[in-house]
Amino acid sequence: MSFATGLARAFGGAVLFAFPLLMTMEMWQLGFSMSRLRLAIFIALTLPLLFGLSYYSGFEKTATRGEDAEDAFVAFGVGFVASALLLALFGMITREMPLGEIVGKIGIQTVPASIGAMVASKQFHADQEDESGEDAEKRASYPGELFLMAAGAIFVAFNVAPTEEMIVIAFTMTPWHAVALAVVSVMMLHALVYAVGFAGQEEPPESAGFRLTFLHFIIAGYGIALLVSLYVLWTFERTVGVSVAEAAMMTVVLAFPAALGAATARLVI
Amino acid sequence: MAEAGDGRPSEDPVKRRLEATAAAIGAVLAIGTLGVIVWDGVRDQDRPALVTLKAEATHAHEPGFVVEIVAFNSGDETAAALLVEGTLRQGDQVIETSQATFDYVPIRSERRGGLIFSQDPRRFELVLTAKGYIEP
Repeated sequence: MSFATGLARAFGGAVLFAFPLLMTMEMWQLGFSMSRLRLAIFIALTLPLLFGLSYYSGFEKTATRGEDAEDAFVAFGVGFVASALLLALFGMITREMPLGEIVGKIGIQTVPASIGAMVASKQFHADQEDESGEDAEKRASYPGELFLMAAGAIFVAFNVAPTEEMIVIAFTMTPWHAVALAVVSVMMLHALVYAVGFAGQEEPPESAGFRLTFLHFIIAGYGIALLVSLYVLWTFERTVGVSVAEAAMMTVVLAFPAALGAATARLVI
Repeated sequence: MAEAGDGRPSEDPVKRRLEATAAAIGAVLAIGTLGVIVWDGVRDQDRPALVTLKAEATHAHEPGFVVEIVAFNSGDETAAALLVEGTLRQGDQVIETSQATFDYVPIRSERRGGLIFSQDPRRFELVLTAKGYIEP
């Protein structure tokens, strides 16, 4: 595959993964209104995330960590340019806006767009070679599993967290609703990872009992979903001035889609 | 990205250079983006939204008159639901009042709107005041 084709696929992936957020009002507002510090941290964290995605999958088989770093920056660049082009097309960034606003709006969209650029290969690659043994081994390692779950959780959580509806759900629910949702989230995680026959399905190790696998993957996965949700809420300043109980409710609500993302990450990545 | 038979990235030098260039551009964009955002954050003096208003052209049309107004936020906080009131005065007497609400006026940015009056604003003194806003 030529460089141009690879780049085109990356752009396609960027647009595919980012367009729902590119057309979401709250994202444009967050671009100029959210805390600059939290936005900078969020964008900065995208780089190691892209690096990890490149290591475990990415748009080309990489032999060295230097190549992973290179691919991470290429994905970031593709995500940035794709976001900038679409935002300009939609009239969401104009020449009259101050530089800080323009860069903030593009920057926040670059997060999902660059993730899309990085994983584009899996979606668009018709002639994907069989996964080499080394790659499959990397992904099946425990840190690899955890990383992929975290990446999936971040991506899906980020897709729903900016909107108003998310906190409206948290305000409307009673604590009993929240407990039920948490239980359902864990059950859903279990079902998706083990019971349904997905292509990337994890085979429970022969020696491990049900309890151990449950702890290691399902509970760890939900824990990751909760932590990721709390971080995303903090990033979007949803936790400012809010009681601990209310923050916990919002976290449980966001952890539901985050757990979904964690469970299905390996299908996509 | 091409792959040689054994799955390793191609050694084609042109491609390697293209990839390196793309990565360099990506790195510049990443550093530039973070730089601008941090610079923006550093300028923050923790003041609230500070809005100034300006009236521009007045247009006459069948039912009334439209005055174009511009709201500029020089503060450090985005102003949401900004309520602007325009009052037509003659001396101490209030002739007419109109209002407009701006959804958002970001920091160091301006947003445009219009106030509609039934009387010709050019015959009177127009006073623009920002009445209030909320933090988004």
